[in-house]
Amino acid sequence: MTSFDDNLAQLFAYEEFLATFAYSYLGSNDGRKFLDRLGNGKPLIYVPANCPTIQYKPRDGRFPTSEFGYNGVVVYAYDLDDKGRTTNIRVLSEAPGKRFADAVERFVSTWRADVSNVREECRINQLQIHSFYTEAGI
Amino acid sequence: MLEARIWGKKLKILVIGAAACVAAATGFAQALDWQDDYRSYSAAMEARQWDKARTAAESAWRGSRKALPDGDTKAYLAQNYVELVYQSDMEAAIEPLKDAVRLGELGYGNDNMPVATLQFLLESAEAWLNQRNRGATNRAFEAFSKVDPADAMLPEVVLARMLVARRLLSHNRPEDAASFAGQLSEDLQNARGARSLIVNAEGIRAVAISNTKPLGENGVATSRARVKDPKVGEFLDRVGEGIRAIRRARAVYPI
Repeated sequence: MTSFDDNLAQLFAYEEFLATFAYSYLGSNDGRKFLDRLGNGKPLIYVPANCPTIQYKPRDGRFPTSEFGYNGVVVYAYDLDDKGRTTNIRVLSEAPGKRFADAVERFVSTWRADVSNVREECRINQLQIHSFYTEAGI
Repeated sequence: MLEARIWGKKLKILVIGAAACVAAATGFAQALDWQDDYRSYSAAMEARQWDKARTAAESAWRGSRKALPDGDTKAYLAQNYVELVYQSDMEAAIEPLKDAVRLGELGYGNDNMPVATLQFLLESAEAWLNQRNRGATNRAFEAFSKVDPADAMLPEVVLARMLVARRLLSHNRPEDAASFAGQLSEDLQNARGARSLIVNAEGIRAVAISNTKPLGENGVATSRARVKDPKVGEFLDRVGEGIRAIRRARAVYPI
């Protein structure tokens, strides 16, 4: 398992946490446009060279009803075994505090990926950021 | 008098022989006590034995209060103790800080640490130790504007700035918290400060910005019509500024 800088992970979480408010107020499409106008930061996710895009099913989760109205972000990593199951799920950082990590672990543990013809190097250390937000008007 | 920095600590080096002449008039035994303690402090600092240095610095300062009249030497000894204890035991720093501020207001010791810096450290400590003391938080916030930029990145001042930003946030002053933490983050980035400190400052800024949202903590789910509210535009400007700041902070990481 490669290590991931804790400070960088936390900065990812804070950046995405602020971004959730653009989505909240402007909606997903206009929020994305708003963020694009800020210019491009360095990419949030590092992907090893020559790794194929991995297909998942299912890959959605339910917004935890107990947290409705709150925004938050979880940065996490996991590995995929040779059957496409998620393993070794680990939360790298959260913002604004501990709120959504348990929900993320529940979602991610149910994912299954098609890893046929995906070499091991491309199955480990999958880094993801999960944002939670409610949109104005919902 | 000589000045030196050991691990970022700014300390005044006293020339004991000269100071002893002043002390001798008030009692030989007392004078020896604080001088011996001061020598122990200096030796411990050189050896980076912080606990030993702290104990000796406290003894030297307390001894000087009995043995010496108000003056620079007494002020330096109080400041030396403050600089050792502020980050590890803020409660213990209050008494020497009050003494150092009093002496600074009389014009003593300002060439080592100006009274404005000491006042900021004192108000920040009071604000941090008394969570409900909004007055202390406000005084600390105001006091920082008088701190000399040359002192703004001293380790104990950086800690105090971080704590004041957190207090501003907990006292429901998110806009002040965002600007205060933001300035700290940018100062740290310019000084190539520790990444963990930058992250802490950016975290306070991000949370503070999110708390300035015009519809309240749960209000994001109220009405899309309110998105046209000019306050929403102002809020999104702050979001944009915050994101740009974080991107600057993480630009130092190779990806």
